[in-house]
Amino acid sequence: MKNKFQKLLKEKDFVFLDGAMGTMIQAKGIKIGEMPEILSLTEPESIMEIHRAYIDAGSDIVYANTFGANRYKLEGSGYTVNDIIPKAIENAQKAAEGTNALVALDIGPIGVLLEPTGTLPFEEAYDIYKEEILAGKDADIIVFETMTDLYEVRAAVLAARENSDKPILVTMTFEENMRTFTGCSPEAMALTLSDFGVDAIGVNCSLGPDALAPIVERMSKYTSLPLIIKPNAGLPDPATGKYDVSPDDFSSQLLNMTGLGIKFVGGCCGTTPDFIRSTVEKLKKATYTPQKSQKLSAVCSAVNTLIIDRPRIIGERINPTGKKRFKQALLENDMDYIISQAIEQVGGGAEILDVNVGLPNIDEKEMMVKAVKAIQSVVDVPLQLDSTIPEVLEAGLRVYNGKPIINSVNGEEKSLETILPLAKKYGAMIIGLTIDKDGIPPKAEQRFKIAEKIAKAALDIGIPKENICIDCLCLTASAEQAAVMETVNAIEMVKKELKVKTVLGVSNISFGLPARELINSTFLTVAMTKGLDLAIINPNVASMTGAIKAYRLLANQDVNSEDFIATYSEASAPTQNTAPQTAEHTLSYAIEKGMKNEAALITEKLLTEISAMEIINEHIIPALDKIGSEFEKGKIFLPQLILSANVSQQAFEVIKKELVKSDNAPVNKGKIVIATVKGDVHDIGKNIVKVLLENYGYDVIDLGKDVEYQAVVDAVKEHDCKLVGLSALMTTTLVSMEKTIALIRENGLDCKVMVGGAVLTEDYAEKIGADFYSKDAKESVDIAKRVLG
Amino acid sequence: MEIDINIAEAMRYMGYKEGMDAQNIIEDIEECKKVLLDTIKPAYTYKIFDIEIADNIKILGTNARFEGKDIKEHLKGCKKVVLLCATLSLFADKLINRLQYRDMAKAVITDALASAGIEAVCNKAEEDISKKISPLNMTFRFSPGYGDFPLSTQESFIKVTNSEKLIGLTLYNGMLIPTKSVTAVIGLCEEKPPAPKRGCAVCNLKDSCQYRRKGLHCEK
Repeated sequence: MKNKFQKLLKEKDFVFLDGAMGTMIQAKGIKIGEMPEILSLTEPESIMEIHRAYIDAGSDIVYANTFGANRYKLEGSGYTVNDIIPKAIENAQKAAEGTNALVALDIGPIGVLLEPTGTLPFEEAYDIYKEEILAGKDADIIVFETMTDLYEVRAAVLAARENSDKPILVTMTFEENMRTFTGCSPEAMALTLSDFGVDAIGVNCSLGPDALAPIVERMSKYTSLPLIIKPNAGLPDPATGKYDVSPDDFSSQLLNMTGLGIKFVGGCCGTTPDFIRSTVEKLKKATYTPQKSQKLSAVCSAVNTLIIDRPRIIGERINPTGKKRFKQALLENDMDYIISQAIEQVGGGAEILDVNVGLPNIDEKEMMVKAVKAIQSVVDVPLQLDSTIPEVLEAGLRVYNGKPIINSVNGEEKSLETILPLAKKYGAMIIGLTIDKDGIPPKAEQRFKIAEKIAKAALDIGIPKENICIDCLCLTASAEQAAVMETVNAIEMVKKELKVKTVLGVSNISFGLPARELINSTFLTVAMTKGLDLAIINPNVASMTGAIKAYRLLANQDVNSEDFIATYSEASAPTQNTAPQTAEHTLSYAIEKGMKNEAALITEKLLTEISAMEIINEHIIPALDKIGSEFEKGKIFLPQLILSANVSQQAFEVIKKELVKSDNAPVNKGKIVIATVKGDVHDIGKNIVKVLLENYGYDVIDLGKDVEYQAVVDAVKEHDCKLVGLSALMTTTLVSMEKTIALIRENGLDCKVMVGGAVLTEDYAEKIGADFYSKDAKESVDIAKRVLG
Repeated sequence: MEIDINIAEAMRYMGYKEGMDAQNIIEDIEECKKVLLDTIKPAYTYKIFDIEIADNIKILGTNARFEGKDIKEHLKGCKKVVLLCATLSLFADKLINRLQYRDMAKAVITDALASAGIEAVCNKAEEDISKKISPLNMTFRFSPGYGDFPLSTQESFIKVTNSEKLIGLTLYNGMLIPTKSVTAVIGLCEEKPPAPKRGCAVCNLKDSCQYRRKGLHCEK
C-alpha cells in the first residue's frame, strides 16, 4: 500500500484529492439530516458515479463514503460499521477500476466530545477508531479529516498506526480565529503530529482557500511534512445554503498558495468535480516547493506552544520526594491537591510542569494517567513526564494531549533500549541524564561522553536532534564543591559540540547550606550564561523565576523587555503582594465578609495560640453557620455564600499543612462519597456541595461526573462511608439516580443517601428511595451533621 | 461576533433579589463578565424550511417531525420555520470548569453570566434573521423541552443544521455540548403573531431556576 502512495508522491508535483461527497449527494436529492453513509448500501451506483466524476476531473485519491461511519453515529440506524465501511470501499475501488486513483478510508470525528470537557474516555475513542480502521483494511490510505480536537486526533492516529500499516493523512478544521472549536492551534497540531508517524497534515473545511492560507502558513513553520489543503467553496449563506466562491476563483486562490509547501490539494463542502478540474488545470503550471522548515525545539499542549529559544521554566513541585503533604495526596488519590500544585506553579511563572508521581505502594502507571489527564484539564502549559519506568512513561505518553518531554533516559544500555523507542514512537522531546552504571562521573569531559552516547543512540533510531535535551546533573555544593563547575563546563561542551538543548535541576545544589535561595539563583544564572535552556526549579520562589526573567532581558531574548515589564511593573504585580501583612480582622469576620487575602494569615497566627480543632469548631464553623443562615433567610445570595466558603477553605488548607507537618491525623468528621450520576455532565452543583462539606471538616470523596452506578457502590464499600450524595441536573438523568440508589440498597450497604439537583423535588426524592432531599448546598451540610455528627 | 451580557439578568439567575447587599461581590461579577466575554467565541447557525402542519409538523426536505400540541399552537398560521442552533462555544465550559478549581464563587458567577450570555446570542441571531426574512414576521423562539415539545427533538436541530460542523454544537445523551447552547424554532408567518406568552414553561432556565423550585417567579 505504502508503495503506491510513495510512487504517487514522487511522480507528481501535486496530489489531487476529491471534492465534497455531501454536496454531491445532496444534489442527488437525499433528505437533509440523513446519514449519507447508508447510501453506500442502498444506492451504490449513485456513490460510484460521484467517485467516477471526481476521478475524471483529475483526483488521484478519492475518499470513500465512510466519514461518519462510526459505532456512535450509526447507533439506531440499523447498520453496523462492518456493514458500511467494506461496502463503501468496494464502491470506491470499483469506480477507480482501470485508473491509477487510490482509495482512502475517510474518517471524521466521532461526534462526541472527549474528556475532559466531554465525557468520552480517550481509551474508548481509540476503540471506536480501531473498529473503523479494521473494517477499512482494503483501502490504500487512511484519512482523518474535519477534526477539531487534537486529543481525538491522537487517539485516531494511534489506532491507525497500531492496527494497520497504511499511509495516514490528517486534516483539522480551523475557524477564522485560527483555532479549532476546542482551541487547538495550527502550531500545536503541526508539532504534535510531525514526529507522530503520519505522512501529511493540513486543513480542510470551514473556509475558502484564501481564508485558509494564513492557517497553512502558520502550520508550515512548525513541520517539514507535506501539507494538505481541502477548502470549502467559500462560506455558505445560511438562508440559502449557497457557497460564494466559483471554481475559477477557487483554483486561482490555490495557485497563489503553492509556495507554502502544499502537496495535496482538494475541496470540501460546496465543491464539485468542476472545482477539482479547474484546480488540476491551473496547478499544472506550478511546481511543488517544500516549505523551508526551521528545525525548532518546541513542546506544546493542544492550546499552548512553547519554543525553547531562551531559558524556560520547568516547575518541579509535582513530585512527592521529600514532601509529606504530596505523598499523602497520592496515597489518598487526591487529584485536587495535585491540580492545586499545578495551578500555583503556573501562577508563579512555570512554562512547563514536571510530573512525577512515583511512590511505593501505589500503582504508578495508573496514577500517571490520572495525573496527566487531571492536570491537562485545568492548565494549558506543556508537561514533562517524569519516571524511570518505561511502562509508566508510555501510559502517560498515550493520554497526553500535545507534544511532551520525557524525563528521562540515561547512558545505561537498558535505559537507552527501553526509553528512546518511546520518545520516537510518541514524537516527544527526550531528556538524557549524564549518568550510567558507574554513577555520575566527576569530570565534565566524562559527562560529555555519556551525553554524546545518548545523543548518538537517539539520532540512530530516528529521533531528530531538536528533540534531544541533555541534563549534565548537579551534585550538592556542600558535599562536592569542586564538582559544581564541572556541571557548568559540561553544559557548555554539550551546547557547543552536540548542539542539542540542555536542562538542569537546580535546587539540589544548595542542599545542606544556609541561604539556599541565594546559592540556587546564583548557580542558575551561571548555568544560563553557559547555555542552559531548561531550568527545573520551584517557580513559586520569586528570586528563581526572577533570575530567569532578568537573564532573558539581559540576553536580548525578551525583546523590548516586554515580558519583564509585564511581570514586574507595579501595575501588574501579582495580587498576593497586595495581601495585608498583618491580620487585622478576626477569622470569623474575614469568612463572613469573604475577605480572600486575610484568612490564611489570620489562621497562621491563630495556630500559634490555639489548637487546630479549636479554630475549626470555634471560629470557622460558627462563621459558616451564620452565613448559611443568612443565605437561608434570603439576606445574601449564592455567590456570597460560596465566597465565604472559599475563604474558610483557605484557612483549612493552612490547618491541613500544619497537621501534616506535626504528624497529626488530618481533620476528619467522617467520609462522604459524592457523585454526579451516570449520563450527566453538569457537575457545578455537586462541586458547590463539596466545597461546603469540606469546610465543615468532612472528608469528601468526589467521584466526579457521569459516574457508573457500580463505581458509587465500590467507593462506599472501599471507604466504609455512611453517607452518599448524588446529584442530577436533568430530567433525563434522574433515572440514573434511581438506579444508583437501587444498587446501593441491593448491596445492602449501611449508608444513607442524600440527593439534590435542579429538577429534583422532595416527593421524587422519596419515590426513588433516597433518605434525604437536599434543596441546596447549605442543606447538604445540615444533613451531614445529622448523619455523621 | 460581539455580544453583551446583562448583569442584572445574570444576577437574577444567581439568586439575587432587590434589597440584598451585593457590595462584596459586585466587583467579582464585573471581572467575571469581562473574562467570559474575552474567552468565548459565540456562534449560531440556522436553516429555513417550508413546513406542512398535519397531525404533526413536517419539516419539508428533511425527515424531521415536530410532535406536541404546544409547538402546533406556536406555529399556527406559519408556512416556514427557522431552525436555530446557538452556542457560547466550548470555551465557556472550559472556563467554568477551570474556575471551579481556582475560585468556586467565580465559577458560579460565570455560570450564571453564561446563561444570560447565550440568551444574548439568540437575540442577536433573531435580529440578523429578521433582516433576511422580511416581509415575513417571526414568532418568538420555542425550544425543545418547552411545554410538551419533546426534548429529544434537539437531535433533529443538530442534524439538519449541520451544527456539529458549522458551530461545534453536538448532542450527547440528550445534553447539548457545549452546555451553554440553545436549539430553537422560530415560525415565519404573514400575519403578525400574537405577543409571546412569557412564563416558566418557555424559559431555558426552567430546569435550574431557583425561584421556580421555591414556587416563586422571577421578575421577567
